[in-house]
Amino acid sequence: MIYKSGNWLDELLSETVGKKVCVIEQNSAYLEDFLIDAEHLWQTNKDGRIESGIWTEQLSTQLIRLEASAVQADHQSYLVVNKLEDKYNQKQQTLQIAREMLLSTDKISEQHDYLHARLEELLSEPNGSLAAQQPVAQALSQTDLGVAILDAELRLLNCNPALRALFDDSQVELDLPPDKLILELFRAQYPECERIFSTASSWTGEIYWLNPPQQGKWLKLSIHPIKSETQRVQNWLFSVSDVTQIKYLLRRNEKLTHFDALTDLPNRQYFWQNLENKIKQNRPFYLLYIDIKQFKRITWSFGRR
Amino acid sequence: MIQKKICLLGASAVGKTSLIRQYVEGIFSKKYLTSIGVKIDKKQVKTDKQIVQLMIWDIEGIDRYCGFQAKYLRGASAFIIVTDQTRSQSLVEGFDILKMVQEVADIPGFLAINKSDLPASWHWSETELEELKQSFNQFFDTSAKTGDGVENMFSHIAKVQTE
Repeated sequence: MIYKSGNWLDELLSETVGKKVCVIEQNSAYLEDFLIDAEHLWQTNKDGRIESGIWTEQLSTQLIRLEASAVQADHQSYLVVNKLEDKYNQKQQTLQIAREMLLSTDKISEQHDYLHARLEELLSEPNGSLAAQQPVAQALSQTDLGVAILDAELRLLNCNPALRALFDDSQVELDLPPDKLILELFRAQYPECERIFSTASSWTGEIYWLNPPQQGKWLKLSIHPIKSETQRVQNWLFSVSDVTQIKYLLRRNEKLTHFDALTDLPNRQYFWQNLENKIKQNRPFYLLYIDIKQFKRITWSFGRR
Repeated sequence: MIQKKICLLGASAVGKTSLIRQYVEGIFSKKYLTSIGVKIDKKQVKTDKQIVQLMIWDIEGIDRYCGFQAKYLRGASAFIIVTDQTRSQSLVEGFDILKMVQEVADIPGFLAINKSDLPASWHWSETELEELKQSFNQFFDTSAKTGDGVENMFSHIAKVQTE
């Protein structure tokens, strides 16, 4: 038996038009493929449900997003095809930001790694300790990353224009040169700082530069020792990039995930996350539950307008 | 006419959807809009032997938000792994995807090195690239933006289907 609402199904599965019973033809390759799994479920005659995952169909005038479920319950087999609107848009919005963020992070990590490998190669050469040598200077000028090369005692040997540009702000007058400022921020924000230098370890993390009246900058900092053949530290390499935008996207995405787009109020996910956190604390707490009577009627009548 | 299912796989934002749009509709949009789930497009290709209808499955990028789903490969005749030559990581991920596909399907695999209109900024040496390419039946440099190599890749895959 076929039950349907909306005209999109008539166009997608025209064989259902005016019929209560029909055989689904090959109009939707994705649905056809899903029916193989659905038939397996229905043949078992055991109660259960499987989902198709989201797919897109191009109709004559519109692009529609669908998701199907095959259900077996009480010896009855059901196929439910849902047209997604809000759910798809919300998922896409969240994933769009998440993936843009992933791309930016990937790109920055790739730059840092490449730079470390390249400079390590150059600086490890016999006369490499001279951080001013031509290939090193060239490598520094070609990168978008802020780079500082310091000696074993953390004295600056060379830094590139990109590093200066990161801290170049007409409204803020710097008391310290960029390399010293980075070291100061690192020392103030990460207690493990001295251990990194004393054990000649690599470190990657984020430091925050508060530069009032501006909004502040989040900087990804990589600290990398360059050692001689005898494993003695010859140089320290600092590479820095601005990740403020990524932080902003992350915050925006958290907001999209945890707050209702219409009312801007915390949503169900936010509630569950908070509840889980409370439970983890293993301390008694109160939960006040307020139910608005007949609210469903409003949702049914007016939807999410 | 025969019908063949071809799956496009790859990391997110490598240009899978753009490649298909360029091939099927001749359109390119610069704006990155992430795909969710699957979209199937059809295109007929005339080969020397017969007409092949390609059913091209554009599958959501595989990353930490969306895992590899073997079920999408059911009934596929070939797959294309799309990579972005401006991002080294896309080839590493493409290669991981290749291994996962090979565990579940024994079908021809093709490598699309996309965004050939942009300077290659991944840091793979020629030797490393050659080694990776060996794992595929064939590789193609493509640009979804200019269309370079796109038609050629799909025509080649259609032709392979009739041999």
